[in-house]
Amino acid sequence: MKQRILIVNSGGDCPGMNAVIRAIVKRTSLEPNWEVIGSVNSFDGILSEPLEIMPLTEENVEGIHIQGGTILTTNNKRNPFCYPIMQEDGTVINKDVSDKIMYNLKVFGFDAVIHIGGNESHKISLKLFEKGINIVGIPKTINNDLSSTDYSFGFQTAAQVATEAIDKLVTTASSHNRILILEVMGRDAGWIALHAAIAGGADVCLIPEIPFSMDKVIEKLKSRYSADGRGFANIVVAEGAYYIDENGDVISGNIARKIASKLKEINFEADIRETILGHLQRGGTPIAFDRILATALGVKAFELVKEKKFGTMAIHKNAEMEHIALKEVIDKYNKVGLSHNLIHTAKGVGISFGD
Amino acid sequence: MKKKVLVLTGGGDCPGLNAVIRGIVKRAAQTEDWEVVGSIQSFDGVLREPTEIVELTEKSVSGIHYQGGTILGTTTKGGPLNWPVKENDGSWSFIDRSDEMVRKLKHMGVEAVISIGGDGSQRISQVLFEKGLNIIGVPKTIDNDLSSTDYTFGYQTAVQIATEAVDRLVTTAASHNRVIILEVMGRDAGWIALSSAIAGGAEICLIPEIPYDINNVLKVINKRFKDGKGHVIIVVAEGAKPIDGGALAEESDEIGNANLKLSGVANKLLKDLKAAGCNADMRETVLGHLQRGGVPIAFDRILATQFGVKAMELALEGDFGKMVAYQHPNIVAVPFLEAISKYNIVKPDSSLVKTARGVGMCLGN
Repeated sequence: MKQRILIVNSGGDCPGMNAVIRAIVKRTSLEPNWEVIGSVNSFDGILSEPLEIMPLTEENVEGIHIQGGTILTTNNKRNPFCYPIMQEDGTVINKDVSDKIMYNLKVFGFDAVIHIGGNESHKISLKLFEKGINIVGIPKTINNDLSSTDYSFGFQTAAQVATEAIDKLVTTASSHNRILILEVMGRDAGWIALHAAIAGGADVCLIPEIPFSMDKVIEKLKSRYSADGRGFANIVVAEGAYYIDENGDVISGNIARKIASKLKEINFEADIRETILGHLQRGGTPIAFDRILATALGVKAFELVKEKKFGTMAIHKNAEMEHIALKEVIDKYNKVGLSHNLIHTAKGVGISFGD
Repeated sequence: MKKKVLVLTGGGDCPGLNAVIRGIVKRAAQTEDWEVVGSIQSFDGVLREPTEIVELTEKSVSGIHYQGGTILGTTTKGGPLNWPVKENDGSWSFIDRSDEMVRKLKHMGVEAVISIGGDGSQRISQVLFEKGLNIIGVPKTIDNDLSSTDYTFGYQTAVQIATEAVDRLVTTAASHNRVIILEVMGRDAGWIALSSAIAGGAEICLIPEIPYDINNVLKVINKRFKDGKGHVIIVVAEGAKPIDGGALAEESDEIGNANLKLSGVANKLLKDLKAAGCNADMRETVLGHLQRGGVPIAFDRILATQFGVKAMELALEGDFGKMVAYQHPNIVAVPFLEAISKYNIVKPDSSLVKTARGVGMCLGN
């Protein structure tokens, strides 16, 4: 009988997931006695009765590396240690179903699991490994917030999408002498905002790592306008950015809108508009960089399985593919360091962080 | 009077050159006492009489970071060390005008020169530095073939364009059961070819670092057609060569351009495959200068901006004779001699090659 690998993907979707799946399948097909099966909708597939699993062959992964999303579908609310189970009365109770995963993997003859996910997903990977499951992780986040890998796939695509948004917003802002605010993703990290601000040439970049002052932002915006009201300005704000107002309250969440209303409140003499880029940053074709990285991670993950290096994660380090123990990666976030060269570069071209 | 930094771009153009220029100018604008001027068409602007020098201000560089090319113009011909001169009989000879140029720059009040160019330009910079010129280098090549920097700007844009070409060729090849050969740039390095082959999902990729055996290529084509998968995409680097021959190269017809012109490998491969008995329908595409034109992707704009800011800061610090480089995640300065000592070619045991083989790609050997 062939040895079986189960692929599970968890968390938010991310351009490049399909390229990872394709690479695992193509690498496996070079071996005579391995096969790959996908669990549909994160851990749901391996937990359902009957199982919702998908045999993955070279034919059904052909060409998927160009597609965004994941052919397996994904979910960020499927933690097997706290798994939502619908009761007869319609209420939902969370239960630990990890034993059932163990059992099903054994009964259905799975030798290893490759888990594609972000930080939260790999906390689950580690716990499953500690229970005895042969698991290998692949990092996935558009936010670039994992410190163990130099790059994660999806991030460069998100940065590219956000940059193209600024390119467009610059021409409309300058035509109307407007201030345009672009809110981008990134959670608690400002990487997407910082990259897009430098690449697109924004005037103000607000990130969670540098709490900003509205006064400083206003000062920078004023410098962009002449006495007769001519000029324009582009602000890129990370979804996790915040400021502390005159009452000492932390102003965060829906931050683009809050900045816009604050500017209107003080009667800033320009028209102000906001754009929230949202899931455009997660959808669509991954750029070449992310497809290559995703493919390399998929190939590496299979090889880690073949070499029985379980409890590890495939990573990209110094231009080579490496691996690291899962316990080393948990809760090690990669935030924008204040001494990072990109901060230096941004300040060097006159971008204000509102600090 | 303000201190003057002179910027110039040399060698083939490359998406991101304008972002470097803008980075330099915007960084200089934050100082009290520096101004930036540009020399038109590499050093030619300085050497010509009258000189062709333009002022570069925040206003004149506004928005140029997303334009391809270079607002200063560039040239692959000659240079201060071998300036082409037309003799009375119509033939060309070359003279060294470097001493004259160093004097001229001093006379013009130029305190520092930032030269953005490939390895040839960096070599010229080293000679000029030894002659006492305060010069700083910024690496530029779409071929990614400099070893002292992790990446050069322009390269990721070229890979992206080549990948989009593969995406398009796949659908037409599949519809017509064809073999389609895509020739990409890269000179003696296979980076663009290998990267776009992985990203686009080509079946075969031929690079200069791994000489190919036409029989192996034919075997893979025949196998793909026998399995009922009636199409094959081959990405071939312009410098690729068969095991029993060299790369196709001819001398450039541009006066003073020392680089050999590489082209025709796709066509040769097509003919060789036919001669070896391949009866599939075959077509070729030569991507050419599409790989150099147009808007740089975000990655390259960011890298180029980092290089520009760093180069200006080296000028402010008076740290000359060095080239800026990217060593993840830092931007560093490397002495010219070290920067140009080694090419960066694809190593056959690198992760990228392992990845290509891992997804079943044939590399021709």
